Amino acid sequence: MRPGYVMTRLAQAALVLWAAWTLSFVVLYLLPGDPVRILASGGLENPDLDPARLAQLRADLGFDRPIALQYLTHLADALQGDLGRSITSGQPVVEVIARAIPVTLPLALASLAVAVPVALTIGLLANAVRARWAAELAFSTPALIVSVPTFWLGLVLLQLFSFRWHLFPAASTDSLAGLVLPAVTLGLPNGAILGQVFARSLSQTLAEPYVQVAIAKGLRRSRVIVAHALRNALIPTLTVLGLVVGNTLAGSVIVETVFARPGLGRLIARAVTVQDIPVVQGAVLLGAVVFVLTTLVVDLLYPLIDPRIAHTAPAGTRS
Amino acid sequence: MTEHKPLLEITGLSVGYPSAPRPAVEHLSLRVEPGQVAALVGQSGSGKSTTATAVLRQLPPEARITAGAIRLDGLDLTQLSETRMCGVRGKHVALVPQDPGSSLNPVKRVGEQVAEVLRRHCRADRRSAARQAVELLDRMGLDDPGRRARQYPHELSGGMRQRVLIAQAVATQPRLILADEPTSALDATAQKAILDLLDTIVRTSGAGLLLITHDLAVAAERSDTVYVLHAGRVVESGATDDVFAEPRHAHTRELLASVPDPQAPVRAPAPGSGAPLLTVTGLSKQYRTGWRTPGPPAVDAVDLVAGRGQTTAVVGESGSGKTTLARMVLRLTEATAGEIDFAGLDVRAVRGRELRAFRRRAQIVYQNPYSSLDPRFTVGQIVYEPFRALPARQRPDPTEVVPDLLTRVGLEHALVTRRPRQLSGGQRQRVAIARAIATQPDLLVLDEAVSALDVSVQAQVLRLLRQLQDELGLTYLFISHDIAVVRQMAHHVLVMRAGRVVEAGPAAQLLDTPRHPYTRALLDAVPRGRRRGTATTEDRRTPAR
Repeated sequence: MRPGYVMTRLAQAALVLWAAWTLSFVVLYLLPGDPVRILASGGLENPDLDPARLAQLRADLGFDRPIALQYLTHLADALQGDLGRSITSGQPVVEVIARAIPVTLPLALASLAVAVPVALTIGLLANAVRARWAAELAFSTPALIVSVPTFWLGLVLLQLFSFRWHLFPAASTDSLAGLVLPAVTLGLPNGAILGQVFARSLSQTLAEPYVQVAIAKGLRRSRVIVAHALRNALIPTLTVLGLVVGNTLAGSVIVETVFARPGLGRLIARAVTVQDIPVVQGAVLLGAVVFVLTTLVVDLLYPLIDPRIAHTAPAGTRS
Repeated sequence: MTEHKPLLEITGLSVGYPSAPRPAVEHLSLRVEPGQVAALVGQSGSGKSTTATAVLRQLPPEARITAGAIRLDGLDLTQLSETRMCGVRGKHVALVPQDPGSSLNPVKRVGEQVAEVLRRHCRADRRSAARQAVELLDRMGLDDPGRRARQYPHELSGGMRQRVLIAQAVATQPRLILADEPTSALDATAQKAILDLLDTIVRTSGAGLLLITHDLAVAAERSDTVYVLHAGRVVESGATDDVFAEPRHAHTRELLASVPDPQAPVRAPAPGSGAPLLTVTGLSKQYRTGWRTPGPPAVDAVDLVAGRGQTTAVVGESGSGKTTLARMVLRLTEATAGEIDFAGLDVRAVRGRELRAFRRRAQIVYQNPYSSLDPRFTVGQIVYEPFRALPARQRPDPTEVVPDLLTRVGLEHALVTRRPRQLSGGQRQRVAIARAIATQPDLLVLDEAVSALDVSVQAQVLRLLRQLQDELGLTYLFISHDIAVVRQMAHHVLVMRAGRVVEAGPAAQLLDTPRHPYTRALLDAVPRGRRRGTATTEDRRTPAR
């Protein structure tokens, strides 16, 4: 790997973050609805609002200045690590987000701990089992799992495991047991997507000439799969794993709502409904950072798995 | 012959697929003796590879061995359990596969892949297996074997990879080696080296070799006995010298007649032609390998003149820059330096409408007729497609031009509604040629256009190409690694190596009195299949016994 490659990737990352921030700014301003009015209404449908008070509030929050100026001021602040204050609570966005991360991070990691074994099981069942029906079943499970809506899956799990059998708590953010159901809800669909890609990729790899040669060397099937097919099949799977990790934040919106966990997902859901622009932008920025980091990690992992991929060209070496 | 057990004896083998009306292999019997080479020859689809995979018991799950026995030293392999067969594969029967490019695991070092067999079958521990692997690579003639063993397949050339695969096959000193088209993906020089190596192994180890090939010249030069396979049946067999000296079956004679004759006279230049159509000066292509680091040039200052109505052949091994050169001439790849003049047109500078007009005048036929035709199009749509680049009112009537084009390339009109997968390889390549001549181009680039075809089909397509050239006055840029084929087509030859032209000249002069040592090496490496009547007693190999 060359320093030029790392520099290019960092420049790309900065560009992605800026684009995500700008795009979210533009979209939020184009949305119909007035954040100041929502704020002042205090949640009422059609409250009587004093126009003078609204104007005062607008000026206080800086919403009365030209949009270009607002954009540049916010951008300058963001570059210094100041993402502004939440319109609703008045707390700094950085603090609000920092408080939510410790709730969501364990959930994200636990969901991966569910997704990866699920994916491996699906892939291996689909290819290593001799019984035709078992393989067919393994190939079709991902479609079944993915087609189940996440919130419904969460509710069913809650219904069965918490309310009927009392195996896991329904809502608990500080115990490991409380993490199980949300992690399964979030991890199962991700595992299914990963498993689908892994199963297909493994079966394609098993049809490659070098696998036939490996069999002709007298290797047993388990060895052929583990020593020859697995690593080659991992490359497309890793690409999808990167996307899945990046998407965990989006998935947490539903899961944290269902399981009443005060994490990033809940924060985003609430901020969007009340048009708390600084908080939404902070969350978008965080999502972009997560994506940029995972793609970078995935790209750095490729050459470790496949020696043919070397980071020598400035860009476009990603397969 | 005294009563003895052959090393491999296949008797009455039949292999069928439930979906196919006819068995892939039918009542096939053959023998391989220790220390000898038996060749199994035939066209693609004749059942050669099915036979090899049946011996290894690696047929696809839907295939069935419906009759017959495969005995290795008297042991019937068809009756073994899968577990016992695992102990036979790689230990007693080894495979040298067809395509060295895809037959090695791309993510494992080659040394590990060789060592793996030793660890599986010879109870070698990790360190001694690694050491033995290096020794084997050394014996296979790889330079600096210690370093090679630590390299990955993509860092080796095709010939080197095939040496690794052979090392892997012979590591356990197997009694039978199955070589399935071991050299068909290699150029002439690498082919000769690999065949020599296999020869030596058979002579010194006493292993038997079943050599599967579509190339009769290779079979004639390298085998003791030969089996000619046609549509799943052995139509003729016997001592190689006898079969090739006096072929009895019509199919054998047909196959032999299509082998390009390495001594055939070259083509006389077409009368009244030769004014330059394409003039290439100092053309280079350099790919960047790093941020600003230029890599070694893929094509390095090549000069070329293609005379109107003539064939200019570019010969060289894979990676010599032939295809890059052709793609630059067609503006499919941008050159980094040099000039391309096409009948007064500066090809490197044309843009937009002019470029599209140029594309109609310069067409290409690719090597692989399986991937260069859209599988969803019918033959009629494929052939008519070039006209769709024209404005609607200038397009000709498909019912007129399509039958005309199909007739020109010798295809029946009934094929017009077929799709590529319903055609044979030769038919597909004819469709590709029809598409290429549809817009009445001046220049046709033939990029290994007959390399993927069986010899007999190859001969027919070459005949068609010569005929079209005479009728339409086409100028060919003929890219090939196969000198024997070039001899049948070329008026003018360029020999390329590592991006540079090492020798160029009229075909007769260059092919009969080559001056550059590399050209001589290429010519010497061509297998001289002892064709009927031309063989002398001296050049026949005495069977090793």
